[in-house]
Amino acid sequence: MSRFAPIQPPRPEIKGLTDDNYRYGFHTPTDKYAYKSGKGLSSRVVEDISSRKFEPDWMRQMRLEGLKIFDSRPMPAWGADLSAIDFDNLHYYLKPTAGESRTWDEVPTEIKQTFERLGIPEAERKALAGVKTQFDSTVVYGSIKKMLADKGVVFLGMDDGLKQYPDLIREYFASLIPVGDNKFAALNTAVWSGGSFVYVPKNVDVGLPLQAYFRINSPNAGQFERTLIIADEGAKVHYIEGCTAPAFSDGSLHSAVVEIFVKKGATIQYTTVQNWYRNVYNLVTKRAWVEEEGRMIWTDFNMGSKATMKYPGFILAGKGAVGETLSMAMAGPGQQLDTGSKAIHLAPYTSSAIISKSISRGGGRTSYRGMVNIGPNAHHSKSKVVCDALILDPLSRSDTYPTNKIFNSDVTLEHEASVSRIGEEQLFYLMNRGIPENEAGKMIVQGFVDPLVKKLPLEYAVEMNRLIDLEISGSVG
Amino acid sequence: MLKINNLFVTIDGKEIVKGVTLTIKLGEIHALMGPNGSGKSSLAMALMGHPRYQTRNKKQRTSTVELDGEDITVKTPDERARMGLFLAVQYPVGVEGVTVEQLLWRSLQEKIAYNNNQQSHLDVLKFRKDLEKLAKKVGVKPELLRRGINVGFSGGEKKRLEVLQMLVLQPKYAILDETDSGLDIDALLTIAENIKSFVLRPPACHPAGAVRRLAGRSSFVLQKPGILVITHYAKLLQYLQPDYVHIMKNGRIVETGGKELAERIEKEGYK
Repeated sequence: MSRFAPIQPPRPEIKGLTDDNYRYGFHTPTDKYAYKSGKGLSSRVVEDISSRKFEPDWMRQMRLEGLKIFDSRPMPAWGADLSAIDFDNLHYYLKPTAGESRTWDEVPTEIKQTFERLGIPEAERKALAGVKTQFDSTVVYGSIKKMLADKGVVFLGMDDGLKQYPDLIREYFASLIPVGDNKFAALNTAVWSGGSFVYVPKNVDVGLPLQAYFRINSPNAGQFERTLIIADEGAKVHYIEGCTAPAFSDGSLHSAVVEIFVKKGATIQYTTVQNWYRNVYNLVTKRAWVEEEGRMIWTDFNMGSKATMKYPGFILAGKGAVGETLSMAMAGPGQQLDTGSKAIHLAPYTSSAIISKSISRGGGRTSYRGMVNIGPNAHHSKSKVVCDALILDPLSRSDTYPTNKIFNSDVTLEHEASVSRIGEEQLFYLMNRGIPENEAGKMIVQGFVDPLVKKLPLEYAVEMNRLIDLEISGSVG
Repeated sequence: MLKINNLFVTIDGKEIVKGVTLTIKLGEIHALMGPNGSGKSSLAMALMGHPRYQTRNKKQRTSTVELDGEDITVKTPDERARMGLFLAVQYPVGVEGVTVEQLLWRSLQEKIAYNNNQQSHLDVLKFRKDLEKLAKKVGVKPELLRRGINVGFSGGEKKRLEVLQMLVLQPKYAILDETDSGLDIDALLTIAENIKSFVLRPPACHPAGAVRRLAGRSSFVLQKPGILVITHYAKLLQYLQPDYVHIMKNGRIVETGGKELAERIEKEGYK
């Protein structure tokens, strides 16, 4: 009950977000797959995945190595609580049925309403709901595909990429995030499926953002997707994955690996907007290699999931390279989002900026975990870390774990951190001007994330604002 | 009429205001003076409905605050604001990312909707123009209107902004809690002039002007507002020429008089 309404009759309790029956969620039943590996993980499963995809031998070997490392490593003893993941009870490979899919009429009404509320365009709604898109999207894909082909841009699913450009992929695959980088990167290497392969030739500016869910007629949310993006010298590309609609994954574990190569003078922006279903463990490894005068920007919006651990990083390897991370995390009841970024400066005159904002509510937990490492050669480098946390109620929690390793005295390092509760004083101030409590709370939260939401393309920014609205409705006060 | 009847206020169980009775009519200026800790700000916060300042418990059943005949002690702060009450707070808080323009646009719409029982058709361009005009009048730089409320504002800018908000929202009853504290003489003059002219005649250029005329019932001030000024200084009162001066001590109003009372206090102290 509102603290601002001393003698009002009790308001009806707002349910929904805490229900098991997530009201913005939907899911596709698991039995519509052409092929589904048995439960559990073994070298047989891994070999099976590789042979079904007709992969080259080196990939098969690498998968097996990944499995070995995954098996030998302990679970991380830090970060979110992962003890409930039952590895033996997961399917590691699901091949979707090609011809079969549902029709728009079969999509549950609540989901249609959610799309409506989020303002997602008609054509995209169908794709998101797993409806095979008949013509709208074919037209869109067609024209985008032609534009990309004219510029020499390669934009494929990872499996297709491996078939069409095996040498290029062999050169880069797992070269930045090695097989044994961490337990979950090893798992991904062993069982990866789906994801994107992007190559942008020298001096090409792609212009339009590349959107993962506009890519191919395969399901957008893979469990173990693997993405590789290469921008050749002077090239420029913005890649966007996910959307604000809740993403249901048939498996409760999502463990992706994203490797990015920014060549001399190139720019890559990688935007993630994800809203996972609440049973999902989201454990992702993302890293970029940035050469001379190159620029890497991670824009990372994390919502939903049961637990998320994600620290997109960049290695500033060439003189004057720039890395930026803008990340937002929102944790509700029963959720823990452990996010941050890693900035590794290897070359002189490099600069990095990490801006992280988190919101926790209803007992949710957010953490900022970040590392800045400035090596001995990285003189005249600078780094700035700003992490702000907003806590909406006394049940919720936020922590900050920064690590700075500086091996060079000729650098500038700034670190700012703030934690604020949505203050009674702030709410009172806005209410004193005639704005109802719930609206005032939304204004404060949106004001808090505004600097980050502004960095999104307009249509995403609009959806993100609506989603934040939906998420915090009734939870402030 | 804002009618405060035997009001008690407790904070965390401690009684701060101990039975204040005070009636403010439209067109009247009341000044409230008193030593630090006498309960002036607590009274102001309680009138606006801040949840920490409790005005209702078993002992205080006879406490009421009536705004034009309606008891507001059961209303939330936003309801009170929409009904035409306004508090210029002593320590304005910052709200990152919510601009002054945004806040006032929203506030005005809420208030208009309350009056007309429907969505307003306020013209956003006219609103901006009028807001800038009013801002100029109270000496708030136009660029501040597009920044987070009170974020990085100087002490003087915060106080000017409180007055600006009053001019935009046009309340029937306004409580100004030490709006003159910490100001240089020029700022004090500007603020005093603006309060005075608001009391005499609400500004002609006004974002809600058109709507105000349409409103059947109005929680916007139609002729003259009633004002309660909390201050430590006779200086402001020399400009404002209050109709009544009240002295508060230890949670009670102990003396009421005309403006000469303020001058006496300035000379002799509260004793």
